[in-house]
Amino acid sequence: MYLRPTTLDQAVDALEHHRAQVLAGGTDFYPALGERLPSTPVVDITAVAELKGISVHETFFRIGGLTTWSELLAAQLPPCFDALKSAAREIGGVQIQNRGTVAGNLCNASPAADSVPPLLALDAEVELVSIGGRRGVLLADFIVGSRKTLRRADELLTAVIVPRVVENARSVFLKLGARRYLVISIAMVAIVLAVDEQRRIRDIRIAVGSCSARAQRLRELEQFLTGRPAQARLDALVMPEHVKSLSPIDDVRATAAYRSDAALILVRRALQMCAS
Amino acid sequence: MKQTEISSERNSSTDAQNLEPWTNPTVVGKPLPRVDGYERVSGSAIYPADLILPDMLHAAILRCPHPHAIVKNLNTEAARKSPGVRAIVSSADPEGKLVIPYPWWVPEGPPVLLFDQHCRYQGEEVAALAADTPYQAYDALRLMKVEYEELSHLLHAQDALKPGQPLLHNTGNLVRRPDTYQRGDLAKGFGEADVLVEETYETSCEIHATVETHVAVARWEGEQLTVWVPTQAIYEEQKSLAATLRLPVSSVRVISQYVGGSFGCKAELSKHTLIAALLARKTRRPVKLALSREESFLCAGNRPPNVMCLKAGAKKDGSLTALEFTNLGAVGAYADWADAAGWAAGSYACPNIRTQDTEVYINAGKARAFRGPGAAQSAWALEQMIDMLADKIGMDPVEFRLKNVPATHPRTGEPYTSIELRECLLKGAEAFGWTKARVARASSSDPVKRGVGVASCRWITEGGPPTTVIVTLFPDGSATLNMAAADQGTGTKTIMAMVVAEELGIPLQKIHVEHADTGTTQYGKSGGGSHSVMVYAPAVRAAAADVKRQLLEIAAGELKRPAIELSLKDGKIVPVREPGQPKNLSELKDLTRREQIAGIGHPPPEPKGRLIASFGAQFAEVEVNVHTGEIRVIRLLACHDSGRVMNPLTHESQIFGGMVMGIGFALTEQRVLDDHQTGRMVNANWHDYKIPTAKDVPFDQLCLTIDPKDAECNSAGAKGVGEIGTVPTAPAIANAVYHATGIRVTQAPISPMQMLALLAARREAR
Repeated sequence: MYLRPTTLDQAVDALEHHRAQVLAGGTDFYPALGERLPSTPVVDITAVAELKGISVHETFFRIGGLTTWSELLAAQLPPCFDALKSAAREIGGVQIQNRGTVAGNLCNASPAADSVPPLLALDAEVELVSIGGRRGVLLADFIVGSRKTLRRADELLTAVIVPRVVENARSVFLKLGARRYLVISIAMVAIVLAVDEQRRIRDIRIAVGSCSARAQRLRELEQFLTGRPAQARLDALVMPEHVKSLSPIDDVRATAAYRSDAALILVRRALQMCAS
Repeated sequence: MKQTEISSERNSSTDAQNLEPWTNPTVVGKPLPRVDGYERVSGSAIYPADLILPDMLHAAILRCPHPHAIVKNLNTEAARKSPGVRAIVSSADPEGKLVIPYPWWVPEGPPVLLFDQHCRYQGEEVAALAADTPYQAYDALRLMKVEYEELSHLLHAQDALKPGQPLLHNTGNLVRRPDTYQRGDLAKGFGEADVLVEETYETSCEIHATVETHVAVARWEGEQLTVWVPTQAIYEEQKSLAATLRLPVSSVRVISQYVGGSFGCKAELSKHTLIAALLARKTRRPVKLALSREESFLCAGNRPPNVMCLKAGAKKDGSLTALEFTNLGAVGAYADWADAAGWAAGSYACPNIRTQDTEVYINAGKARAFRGPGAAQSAWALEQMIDMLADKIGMDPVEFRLKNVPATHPRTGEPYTSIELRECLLKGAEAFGWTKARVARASSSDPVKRGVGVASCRWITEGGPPTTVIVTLFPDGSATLNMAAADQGTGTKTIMAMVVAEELGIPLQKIHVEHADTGTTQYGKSGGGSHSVMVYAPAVRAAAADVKRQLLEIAAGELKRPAIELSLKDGKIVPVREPGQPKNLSELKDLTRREQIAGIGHPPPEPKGRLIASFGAQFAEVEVNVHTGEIRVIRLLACHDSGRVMNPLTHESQIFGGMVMGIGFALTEQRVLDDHQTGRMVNANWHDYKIPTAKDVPFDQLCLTIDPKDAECNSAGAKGVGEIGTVPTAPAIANAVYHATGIRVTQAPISPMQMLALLAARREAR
């Protein structure tokens, strides 16, 4: 069964009544199917206008779930989104960026999802809607493991909410892969860094992806760095123990040991880029 | 068969076969765009995958998921009843026992059964079926029930000859007796050396990764079989199909219209082509069988992995005294070549050499010829070894190579028709700014280290007969070129049309080049071994010259002048003494009466006592980030002697394409087999098997050429260029990495992970 609702109400109604898979950009959906036909009903949400677009509100930004990476790249957004935009540029090629959506990337919950570290570093929250209503969940809580989220089968991820707290903070995203383009990352890092008038670190968020079952923030390192002057050689303060909370695996792309090394180097490099 | 009126006047055709290379060509040598460029780019070119025939069925193949297993039981009942299914073939059918012949360059090997119950590689064919739609075919495959008995598997060449390992064939795991070559006295050579180096190198299994996967469309009309396949070798496939199906050769027609990349993997009969023919015969309907990307990774050929142990010695003045090169290569599950060492014996002037190539079977897809087969792997080891020797005696690597450029073929002593390796090294080094780049080093605190490296290369090519080409000229001044060379994307059609244009003085737009088709084009050598231009350009030229001779004879009769006083220019007959009074071909009544003139051409035999080889040198500059192990190729420069450059655009495409492949070979490409558990390939897709993208290729790429004005090699003066461009790239990059970091990376590809581990190991050692 293939349903293509045109309103959010119809969409959540469809999800309520059918044990359906949600189809957005399709860039993960179809490759995962391979040659098989879908085994469950499909709810194609691409015609739901309410899920599109980016809007600015008094205390937050709202990124509609169906926003594509190309749309995000074209949007006028403050510097704290630079990391997310860098990540958007790394998601597949241009064709994928034209199709792939923010909601899809988050709900697919790959440990190597490029958008997750930058959104974690923005303290983003996801908005989930079902026939029973609307709820907000912190992204850090939403993704619970490799390809596992708190989204119930009857819920739709309708938007990502980014609080307007560190709008003019600098942000950087770095990704390491086996080649320069069209690559699944071996390790990636996003940093958002806000300073006070004395150029001391007021607020810093550091998120690492591809190095554990789900991307995670390096909270200890963040605390350790807060209050310190944002100046050259900030990178020298980062020690291997600061990334030991990561739990990378060996796979076809890299070994765990290399991932740990790479994560440390990327954190240092990104910090240096934010501070300089 | 195309009806062609062939002139019976053959008396003066010998002259046409023995032409001197052009001195001042007006078309050949010009950077002209492809004659089939629009068709290929716009999508209007019809590749076999695009072909839709009335009532055509679609086939799919059931493949063994294990690297080594016995098919205990196969139940196709459910699949047979699945919607749309029209026919099934499996080992239960007599056709299942058909034996696919090896291509001519693999002299012998264990029989390759179409459906062997003993499956020796992941992806080995177990059964196949044809259905109304591709999806019905895929669905039905899933309904086939197979009971496998899994056997322990063998994945590494190093284990193949150890006791207790699984045996792939009852003849054992050794493909053939090791090939050994020796000259001089190795011990004496090592004794004379001032410096000795010893190292073991490894290359990874590389996949051809053609953009177009393998496809076949088969149709029977009575006992006549027509097969559309993208192939480099229509006649090889025709012969193999006829032999397998026990048909007269004339009952099999093979058509290769367009080829979407081959690099050597589309030059032999594949099982899928035979399966399409069998299913088409069973159903009496046309059948298309297109391999998926995953299938092409598993079963459509590869560059075999090699383990190469080298020991070399040199004097302080840079002369090589001895080289020992022992190679162990894994051909996969059936016979092919995985040689490397023998190549090194012909590279440099070295008096004392011993090489040995040993090839073994492993439980993985069979190798196939792959752009510079053997030579690319050999160069990875030898060219790094040369670098090590140069380093050890403190000599510049370019100078070291210059010191050892051979005067004649080091193995046979035969002279080359031309050899400009010295010039390639010198001109390339100068254009690259080698001397300066060699000295400049990044500051020690910068994690990004820069380095430059060089490697040289050689590729033996053979032209010559047998090949027949027909050029037909019409009274309106248009011409048709009929030849068996398939254009695999290299520009063969363009270059050959240019040869016709050169010889007949008619514009390129008025020349039609026929597709390679055993039904219409005469026997011609396959497109392989970098010899298309060497075989076909002289043949086409001879055919065109034959046309010209006949045409001028007709004109001489009508104009009442001796033929020698007439010339052919811009599609018109021009009397040499009155160039202002050209005559249109349509004005020649005899020509109009004859309707057309057909000229036949063959390539003249190879020059006696001479070898033909192309040479080159490539220079690479890299950046290595010692914190992450990332390597970026910043700049590549190639300087090649391929004889006359027929078309600078297609020549450059060959060299650049070769270098891009070389970047992949050096840095990213690698078949990864699951060592620990399943033995299966874990990156049989473009997601995890990484060929270079546009961003991995340096913007700064340059291709220089040296034309030796070789009048001996053939009447075009051209040597081969298709393969050599990829041979030196990877070792040049590895040598640049050494220059940047002081670390010799012996194992290809140099992944960031390997690089970082080697950097860490050095830190610990200090």
